[in-house]
Amino acid sequence: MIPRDEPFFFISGGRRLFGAWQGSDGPARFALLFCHPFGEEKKSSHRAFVETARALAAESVASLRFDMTGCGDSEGDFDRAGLPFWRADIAAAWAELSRRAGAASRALLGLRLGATLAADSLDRLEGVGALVLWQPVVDGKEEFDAELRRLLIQEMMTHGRSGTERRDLMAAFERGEHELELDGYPITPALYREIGGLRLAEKRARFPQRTGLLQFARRAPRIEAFAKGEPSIDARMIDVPLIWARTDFIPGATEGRRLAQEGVLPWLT
Amino acid sequence: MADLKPERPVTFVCDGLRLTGMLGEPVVERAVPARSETPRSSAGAVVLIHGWAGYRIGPHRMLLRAARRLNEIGFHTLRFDLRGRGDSEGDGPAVGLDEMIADSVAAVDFIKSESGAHRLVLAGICSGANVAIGAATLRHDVKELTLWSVLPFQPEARAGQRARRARHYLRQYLAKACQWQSWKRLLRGESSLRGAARTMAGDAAPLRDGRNLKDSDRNLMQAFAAWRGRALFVTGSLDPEGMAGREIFEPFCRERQMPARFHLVQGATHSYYDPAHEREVIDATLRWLQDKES
Amino acid sequence: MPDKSIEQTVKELMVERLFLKIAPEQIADDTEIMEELGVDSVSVFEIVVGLEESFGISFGDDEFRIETFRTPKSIADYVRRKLEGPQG
Repeated sequence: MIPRDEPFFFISGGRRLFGAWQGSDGPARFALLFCHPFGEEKKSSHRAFVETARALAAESVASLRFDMTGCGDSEGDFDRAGLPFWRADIAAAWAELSRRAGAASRALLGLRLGATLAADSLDRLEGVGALVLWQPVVDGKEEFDAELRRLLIQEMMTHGRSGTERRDLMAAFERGEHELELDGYPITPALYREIGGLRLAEKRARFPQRTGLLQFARRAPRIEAFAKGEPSIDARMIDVPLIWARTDFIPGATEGRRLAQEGVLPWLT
Repeated sequence: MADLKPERPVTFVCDGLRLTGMLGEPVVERAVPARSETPRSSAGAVVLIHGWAGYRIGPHRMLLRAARRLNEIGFHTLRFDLRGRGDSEGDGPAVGLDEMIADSVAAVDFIKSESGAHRLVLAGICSGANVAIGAATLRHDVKELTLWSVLPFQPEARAGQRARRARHYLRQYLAKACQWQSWKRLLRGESSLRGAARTMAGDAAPLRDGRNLKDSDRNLMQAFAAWRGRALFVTGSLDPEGMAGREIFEPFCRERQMPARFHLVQGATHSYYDPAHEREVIDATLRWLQDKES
Repeated sequence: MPDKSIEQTVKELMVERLFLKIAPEQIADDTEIMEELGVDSVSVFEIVVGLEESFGISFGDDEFRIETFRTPKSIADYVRRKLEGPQG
C-alpha cells in the first residue's frame, strides 16, 4: 500500500521551506530528492513531480519534493534569493532526505535549472548514489539568451513584430536601465550573473557513477553534445510533452508512471 | 505588536479524495514582552482558487502573496489544490468543472470549521473564478466573490461572443505601434495573444468521454442570477478572454441589479505578470473587502 | 531544395515539435496556425529552433514578424528567402 505523502515545512538558513515526503510501498530501496526548475516552469512542472513521486512509491522509491527560497510555498522573495540561498536549500533538503531515508540509497534528480543546480551541489552533498538530470540547462548564459529570444517572440505575438535586439536589451539591463522579469519573476543583475556563470560541464568530474540524462522529445543540440562528450552519462529520450513549458498540459498517473519507469528507475537499479 | 503567523499545510477530504492546502491565519497581537498570544478575531475567511492548470500558489505565486496580505488585515485564508492538481489526490486529466466546484464547497466547509468565521469569501483566478461562482451558488453562507480574469462559461463562449471579442481585441493589439518601451511590456503580452489564439481556435477545452470538462451539469449563469451576494470583477485590459468575460458579466449583473464592481487593470494581461499589475489586483481586492467592513 | 518539400518539412516539424495529434498531411498550406492550432510563444520558439536546425538558417532578432508565422506557406516563403539570400 502506498502511503499518502506528508506535506511539512523544514528550515534552511532560518527560512521555512515547503517539503512533501512521499513514503514508499514497503521499505524504501532508494530515496530521491527532486530539485524543481525556476519561475513559472516550477508551477508548470509541479504536478509532474507529484505524479512521478507517487509512481516511484510503488517501486519502493521514497522521495522528497521541496520548494527553494522564494519559490512555491517557501518563504522568501524570488528577487532577494539567488544561488547561495538555493545551494543551501538543496543541502538542507538533502539532510532532511537523509534523515528520513533510513537504509535506502540516496539519489538526486533535477529538472532544467534544477538539474544544473543539483549537479552544482554535488560537492556539498554526501552519499549521492545516483544523479538524474531532466533536460538540464547546459550553459546558463545560453539559456538566458534563449529566454530572451522567447521574449522577443512574445513581443511579436503581442505587438505584431519584435522591436529590438537582444544585445541592446541586455546592455540596457546591465546598465540598470531596464527591468527584466520572466513571467512575473524579477531577475536581478546579480541573479543573471550567477545563473549566467553556470556550466554543467564544469561539474561532471563530480558526477556519480550512475548519472542519467533524460531529454524530452525535442532536439536539443546543446544537451546532445554535452552527453556525447561524456561516456559515463547515460542519455535517454522520453516522448512526453515539455512538462515545464506547457501551461495547458495536465499530467496524470500515466505520465507519472512513464516518467518514473523511463526517467528515473533506469538509473537507480 | 503584530506578527504574521506562518501558513500551515492542511488536508481535507472531498468525495473520498484528500485535498491539500495552506491555511493562513490573521496576524497575532503580541503583548510586550511577548509571553502570550491573542488571536485577533477573524475578519472573515477567504478561499483562494487557482486556475485550470495551476496549483495553490497561482501564477507567479500571486495567490500566496494575496493570502499574506489578507492575513495582515485579519482574514483567515485557504489556498488549496483542486483535485488532480498540485499535491491533491485525483486523476488530473479527467477532472471537470463540477468536481472543482465540489472541492471548493468542501474547502469552504473546512475553513469555516477551522476559523469559526461567519463572513465567507470565495476568490478565484481565471477558471478558478468560474469555479468560485459555481461554488457560491451552492452555498447560502458565501455572500462575497472576488473574481480575477473570470472567463465566460462554456455555453456563453460557444455562443460565439468570445471569439468575436477576441478577434476585436487582437486586431486592436496588432494595430498598436511596435515601440519598445520596457522589458515589462514585452512580458505582458504572452498570455493575451495565446488566449486570443485559443479563443479563435474555437472550443479548445479538454474532453472526457467526448464531454467538455469545462462544462457543468447545471446552468451556472442561471444559478448565478439567483445568488444573493456581492462580487468584485477584476480584468486586465490586454486580456482578450478576460475582457470577453467582462462583456458578459457586466450587463448580466447590471440587469439583475446585483451589487458588483468592475475593476479594469490597464495594460494587464490574463495572469498579471507585471508586479505593478499584481499589486493593483490585490490592493483593489483588499479595498473592496474592507469597504464592506467600514 | 524544391519548394514543395519546404512546406512539407515545416508541417512535419510542427507536428513533431508541438506534439500535434494530427498527421502533417492534415495541415493545409494556408492553415492559420495561431488561430487553428492554438500556437503560443513557446510553440513558435520551438518552430524557430526547428527551422534553424532543419534548414541551416538563422532568424535575426529584428526578423520576428507575426506575418511570417501565420501559415505553413508563409513560414516556407520566409525560409526560401533566407536560403536564396546571402546567408543561404
